[in-house]
Amino acid sequence: MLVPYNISVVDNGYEFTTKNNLTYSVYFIDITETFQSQVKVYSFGFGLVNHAGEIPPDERVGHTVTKILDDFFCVNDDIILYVPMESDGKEKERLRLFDIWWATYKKYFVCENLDKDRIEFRYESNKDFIVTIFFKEPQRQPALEILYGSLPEIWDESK
Amino acid sequence: MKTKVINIRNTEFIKKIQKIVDEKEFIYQKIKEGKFKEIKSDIKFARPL
Repeated sequence: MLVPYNISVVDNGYEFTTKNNLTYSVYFIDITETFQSQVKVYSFGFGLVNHAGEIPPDERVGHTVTKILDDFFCVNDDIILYVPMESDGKEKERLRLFDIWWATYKKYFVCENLDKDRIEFRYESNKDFIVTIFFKEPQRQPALEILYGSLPEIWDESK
Repeated sequence: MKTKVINIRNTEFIKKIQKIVDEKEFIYQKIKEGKFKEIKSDIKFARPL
């Protein structure tokens, strides 16, 4: 059976080290104030520490990252937003990888009713922000309202 | 998973999302440099686990 890596607590977040001696930092940022929400809202991210060159395939990395989300929702009814980095133009690849991980490792989740929605915000400069929002199923509507509720003016739903 | 596409004209909202992205870019660079644990900033890191 596939086993996720052990995570350790560090300043500013968490980290784990793989069998290939690669270390990943994982973090949550409290962005509740930004959305003026009654429910806690976190931004979530992770990254590989100080490594150049090829990264050997390691299925336990995806399992560990999704396990962290599972662990989060086992003890929180809060909401997580995931917005991929875009400066290197690889945001869609990141989302694709994340979706593969989610589909592959969801069967290991302990927390029930964990789900995600995705909203692609497009604005005038033809730029997109793709926001993935994670929640436990009873929180779907409040989660979406946190995003939409922060849109007091006009918005159009194109599909 | 449900996916929606929303056309938006609200610049305040765009700033909120841009702030999240900017923070991630900053943190990503620090992680790459091996300096994640040393970040001192206004970013509200949390350890909710």
